[in-house]
Amino acid sequence: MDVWQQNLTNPAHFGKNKVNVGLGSIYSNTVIEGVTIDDILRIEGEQTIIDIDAAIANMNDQNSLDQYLSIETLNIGLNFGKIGVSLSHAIKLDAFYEYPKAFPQTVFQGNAQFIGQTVEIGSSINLNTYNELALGLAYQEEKFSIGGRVKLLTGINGARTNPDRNSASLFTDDDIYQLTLNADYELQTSGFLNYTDISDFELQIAPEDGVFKLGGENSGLAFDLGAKVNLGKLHFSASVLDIGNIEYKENSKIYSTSGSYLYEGPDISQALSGEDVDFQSSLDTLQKIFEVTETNDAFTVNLAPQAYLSAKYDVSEKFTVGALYYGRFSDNNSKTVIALSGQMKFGKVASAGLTYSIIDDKFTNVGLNGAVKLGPVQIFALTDNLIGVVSQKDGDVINFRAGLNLVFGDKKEVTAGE
Amino acid sequence: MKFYILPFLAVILLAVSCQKISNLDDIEIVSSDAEFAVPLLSAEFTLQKLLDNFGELAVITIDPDGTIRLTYDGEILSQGADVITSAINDVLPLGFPVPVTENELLLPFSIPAEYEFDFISLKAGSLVYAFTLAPEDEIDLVLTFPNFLIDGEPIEYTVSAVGGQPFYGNTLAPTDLAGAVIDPEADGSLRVLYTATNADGSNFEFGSGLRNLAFTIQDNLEFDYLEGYLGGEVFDNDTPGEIVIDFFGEFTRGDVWFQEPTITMTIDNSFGMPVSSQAEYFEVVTVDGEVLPLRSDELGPDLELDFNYPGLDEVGESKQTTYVFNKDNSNIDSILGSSPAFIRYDVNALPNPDQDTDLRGFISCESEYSVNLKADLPIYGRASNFGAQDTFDLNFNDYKDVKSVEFKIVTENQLPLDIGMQIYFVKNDNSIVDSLFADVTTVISSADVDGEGNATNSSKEETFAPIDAERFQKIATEANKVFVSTAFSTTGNGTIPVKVLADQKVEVRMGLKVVRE
Repeated sequence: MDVWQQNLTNPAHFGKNKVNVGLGSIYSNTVIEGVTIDDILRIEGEQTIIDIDAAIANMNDQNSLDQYLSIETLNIGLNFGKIGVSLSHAIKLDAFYEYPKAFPQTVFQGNAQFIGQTVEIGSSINLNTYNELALGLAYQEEKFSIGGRVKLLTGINGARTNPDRNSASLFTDDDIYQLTLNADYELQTSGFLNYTDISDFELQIAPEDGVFKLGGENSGLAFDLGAKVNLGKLHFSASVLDIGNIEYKENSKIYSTSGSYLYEGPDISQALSGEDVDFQSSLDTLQKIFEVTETNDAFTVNLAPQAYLSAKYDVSEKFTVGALYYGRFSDNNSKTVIALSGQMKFGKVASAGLTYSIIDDKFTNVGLNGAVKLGPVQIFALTDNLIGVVSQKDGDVINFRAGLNLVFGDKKEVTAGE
Repeated sequence: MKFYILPFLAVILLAVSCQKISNLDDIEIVSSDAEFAVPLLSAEFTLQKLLDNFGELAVITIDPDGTIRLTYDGEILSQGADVITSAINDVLPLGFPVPVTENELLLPFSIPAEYEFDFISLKAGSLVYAFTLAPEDEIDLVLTFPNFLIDGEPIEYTVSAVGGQPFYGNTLAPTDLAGAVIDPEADGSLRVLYTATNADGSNFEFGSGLRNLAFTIQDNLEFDYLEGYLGGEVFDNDTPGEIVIDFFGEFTRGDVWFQEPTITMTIDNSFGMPVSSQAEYFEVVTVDGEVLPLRSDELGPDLELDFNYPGLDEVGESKQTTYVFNKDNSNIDSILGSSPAFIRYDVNALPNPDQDTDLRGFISCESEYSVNLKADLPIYGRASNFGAQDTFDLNFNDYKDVKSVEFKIVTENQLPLDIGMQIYFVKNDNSIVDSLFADVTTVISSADVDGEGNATNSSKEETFAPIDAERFQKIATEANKVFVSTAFSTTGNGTIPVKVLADQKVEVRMGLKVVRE
C-alpha cells in the first residue's frame, strides 16, 4: 500500500494519489550502545529506581545513546500530473551522546578503582532540536522520478561538543593519589545550559519558549534529494536527506577549558616552620580545573546526513521482496542498516510486511509494518525491531513510525515499508 | 568534574523521560558506596627549617661540612669602674664641710683599706672653702691642698681679709677640679695646710678671731683614672645570667645526647689589673627541673679563670679572654645532653686574686669587664624516644556520609632520624575515643649512617592507616580534638651518634581514600 510518508525518505516519491494529507505522524529511533534503559531502571513496588551499579556493570568501554525523534504535524502533497509539490512541518530532536564507561564509574563509584591509571572521561554530545518547514518538488515519469526538498530550519535548542575538543582524562597517582586532569573540552550550547561555576549551573532540557518556534536567530537550511527508477517488476530508489545545518546565534554560549592540572593537596611546609600555609595556591589549582571560559559566539550544528538505497522486486501482484541500505552520518557517529523485506498486500485496503535488519553490529532486528486504508483515511505503523517496541527496555534498538493520512484520487497502489 | 557530567545528566534525563514515569521526583537513584582517592597534603622540610620555628632564641649556623649548629647567647654580665669609684666616694667627705682646725690636717684616704692609690685624676668636681673673721681682725690666710694638683701645682688659696663680713671664701665661685690630680701621701693620706698672719706678719692664732675655717669637696666628684693597688674585694654582680634553650621546651619526653656541646665564655676586660672569675653558681636546669652543676677540673670548683688585662701603658684598651667548656675539660656533655631547659650562672670577678700589692694597676672611668656566654649545640649526637606533642581541634560534622577512610602516608627521609607518630582522637575532657594506629608507629624511617654518623641514603616508608565504618562513626560523633604525639630517635634507636646536616630533607606526603555512602 502506498504510504505518503515514503516521501519523507525520498522526495521523488509522491505516490499515485492526487492529494496526500498527513495529519500527524511520529517517528522515533533510539539506538543504545552499551547499557540499555532496562539496565538503568527497575521498578520496586511504586518506586522507580535508577540503579547506577547495574547500569555501569552492563556498560561497554565506550557507550552511546542515539535518539532521533520526528513529529510531523502536517504534511501535504499534491500531484499535478508529472509534477508533485509538497509542504510539510515537523519538530525534530536529534540527540547523540557518547561516553566512556570510566566516566560514570569515576563520578558514581569513585576514582579509587583507577589508582595508577589514566582514564578517559571525556564525553561527546550532539543535541539538536528544531522546527522544519519544507517545500518539496518532484518530476515523475513512467520509468523514473526525481525530486528535491528545501527545508527551512529553526533551532529550538542545541548542544554540541566540539569533535576536535572533547577529550578529558584523569590520572590518579598511586603515590598519594595526586590527581592530574588533562582537558581539552568545548561545549557549545544554545538554550540548554547556563553555567557560572561548578556550584551554579542550570540545565534546560525542555525548551523555554515551547517547541513551536518558527522564527528567531537560530536558523538554517537543508536539502533532500531523491530519485526512483521503475523497471517493470524491479524498482530502485535512492535518496540523500538532511544536507544542511543550523547556525545557533540566540543564547549561544560556548564553554571551554583546556590544560593540564595537577592537584597534590596543599603544601604545608610553611606551617612546619611556623609560617602561614598558603592554601590559596591549592584552591587556585582546583579552581583552574573547573575554570571554564565562556564566549557567546555563534556555532553551527550539522544535521546528520542520511542516505537510502533500495531495490524491490514484485514477485507477484500481492507479494514484493526488497533490500535496503541505509546510512546516517553525524559528526560523532555513523550508522548503517542493511535490511531485507517482504510485503504482502491484502486487497486495496491493507498491507503487511516483515523485515530483517542488521543495524550496525546488531543482528537481531525483526520488524513489522502494516497499513490500513478506510476510504480516504490511511493508518500505518512500522518498526524495524519488534522486540524493542513490545518491550522497550530489553532492546538496544527501539524504532517505530506511525501516522494518519488522508489520501484522495487513488491512481495506483504501491507498497509501504521502504 | 561537574562540567563534564552535564551532558551525561542531560541524556540520562532524556532517556528516562522516554519512559512511562509520571513524576521524576518519584525516581530514586541508588548506587553502592563510592570510594574516592585524593591527595591530602604534602610537606618538605629540613631540620634547619624546623629549628627556625622551635628555637626562637637560637642562632642556627651551618658548618662548612653542613652540620647544623644551635647557638644560644646568654645574658651578658658586666661591671664598670663604678664598682671601685663608688666605694671611694663612699669614704670621701663629699658634700659636707671638713673643718680645718690645725695648720696641718691629715685626711685618711686609704679606705677601703686595701686600696692604695698612686694617683687619681678627676673628671669633674669642685672645691670650696670658707671661714669667718671677727670684725676687729685683719688677717692674711693661705690655705693649701698639697695633694690636689692642677696643672702640676697644688691648689692654694691666699686671702687678705678684714673682719666685719659675714663669711669669707669661694663658695660663690668653687674651684673646678676637672683635670685635677689627687696625689696622696705615701701613706695614702691627704694633707691640708693653712697659715694665718696678722697685718704685721705675726701668726694669727686659730680660734681667736678666725673661726669656722672649712673646705668642702662637693659631691659632683667624678674620677677619671685611678692607679695603684686596687684591692681584692670581689666585684659582685647584682644580676645573674641565664641562657634559655627553648628548643627542648617543645619536647616532652625522651633524651637527647649531644656529642660535642660546648659553652664558650668570653671576657672583655679593660680593668688594668689582674682579675679572675669566681662563679657563685653555673648550672644547667633540665626540662625535668633537675639541676646539674657545671664542673671543670681545670678551673676548680669556683671556675676561676684569669682575665687578660691591659698594662699601665695600655690604658683604654680592652683585653679578651676566651674559655671553651667542652667534654674534655668539663662535664658539659653530660649536663647539656639531658634536655636542658636553661643554663643559669652568676659569675663575679675577683681583682688581684694573688693580693700582690706590688703589682700596680689602674682603672679608668671607662673601665669595665663583661662576661659573655654562648652555648653551642651541634646537631651531632643521639636521641631516643625524644618526643613532642600538640593538640588540634577536630570537626567531622561535615563528614556524616563518610563510612570509612584510609590514610596513606609516604615519607622520604634523608635524616638519620626515625620519627614515630600516634594520633589520638579525644573528647573535650581529653578522654581517648580512638587512635589512628594501634601503637606508636614509625612513619618516617631513619636513613642509614656510616661509621662517622653521616647519613648515606634516603629512606622511603609507606604507612597505611585504615579506619573502618564503625570506628569512623564513633570518632566523627564523639571526638572533638586530635592529640598528635611524635617521638624522634636517631639510627639504632638512639644508640649511634649521628650528624644532621642542613641540606638533608624530609618529604612527607599524605593521601586519603574515603568511602562515602
